[in-house]
Amino acid sequence: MAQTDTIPERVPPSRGLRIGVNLSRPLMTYIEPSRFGLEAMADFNLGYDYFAVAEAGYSYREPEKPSYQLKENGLFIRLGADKNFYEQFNDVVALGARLGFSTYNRSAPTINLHGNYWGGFTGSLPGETFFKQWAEVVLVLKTELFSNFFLGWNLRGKLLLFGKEDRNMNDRYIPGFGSSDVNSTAGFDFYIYYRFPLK
Amino acid sequence: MYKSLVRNIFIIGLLAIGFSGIMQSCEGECGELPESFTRINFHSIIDSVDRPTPVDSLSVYGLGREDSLLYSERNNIGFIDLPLNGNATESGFVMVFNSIADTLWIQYDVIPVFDSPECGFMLNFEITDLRHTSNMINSVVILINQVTSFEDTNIRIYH
Repeated sequence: MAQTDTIPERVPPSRGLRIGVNLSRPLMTYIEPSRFGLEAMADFNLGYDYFAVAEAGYSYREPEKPSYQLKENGLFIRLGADKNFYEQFNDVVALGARLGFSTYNRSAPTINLHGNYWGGFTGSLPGETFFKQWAEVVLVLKTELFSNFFLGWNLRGKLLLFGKEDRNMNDRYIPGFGSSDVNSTAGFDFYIYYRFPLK
Repeated sequence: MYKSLVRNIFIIGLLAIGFSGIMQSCEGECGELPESFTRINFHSIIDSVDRPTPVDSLSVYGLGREDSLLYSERNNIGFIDLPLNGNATESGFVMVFNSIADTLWIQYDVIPVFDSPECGFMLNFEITDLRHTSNMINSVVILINQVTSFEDTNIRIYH
């Protein structure tokens, strides 16, 4: 008797525009009051496994000590895609890639240094605007807590690509990239999302 | 089962990465930031060959700072480290070679450099030009114009 094998048809994931807010940025302000950021993201699933992703925000770092005052602030956007490797429910376990862009301003209104042989130094750095680009690989995990509400985190590896060098900064702060004294860094973000389902 | 697996991974990852992020972001103490010096070495041309030539006896002080010697009758000295004045774009140094004095003026740009939130700024310099008197000094050459704390030799004096 002939036996017929049936391959179960893969059920496409429910589609929708997912909007998220990065909670780790305001949270980090409690730990480092000199840093603050706001970031929103959106993703949209393309077919079974792929999501188009856009993330954008504003952040600043304004550390201050008796010897100096520094101000760095600007906007950033990251564009890219995630590939989902998890096929159960609406949860997401994905690897992604991003291209990041930031324009930001850096100034140091006061710098006071202890004296050397010639005496102390008093000066400042005037405001200067920079534009930087970087690439990221991202590990993404999102879990649906209840209908259309998600929590998730991203773990990011970032590599600076282009942009005018800043000879005044060993420790650079680039909105959306983070602070680093080398051309690569890692980041972690924690998000809450709501998905607007499409019929 | 799958659902709980993803949630467990989610929670464990969140705790682990969040904790390590918090630990990394805590400000540490700052040690002493290194100072940037202009390093100068001494050479002579002997029989058409460029040779390192230590100075028998050398005293050095900043122009206008006769009361404060940087080097006092140092014998057989091959190089010196000179501090630049951060509040000016030129520093002068009087060098006394075996009782014969010369003056070297170093012109530069002052570059404040932010090291870290804990340590703040330090000063680097970029040498733009040199002038000198010629009692013992024959000529001077800029080797590396970036003056940092990395102990590179910036200037060579031929005497």
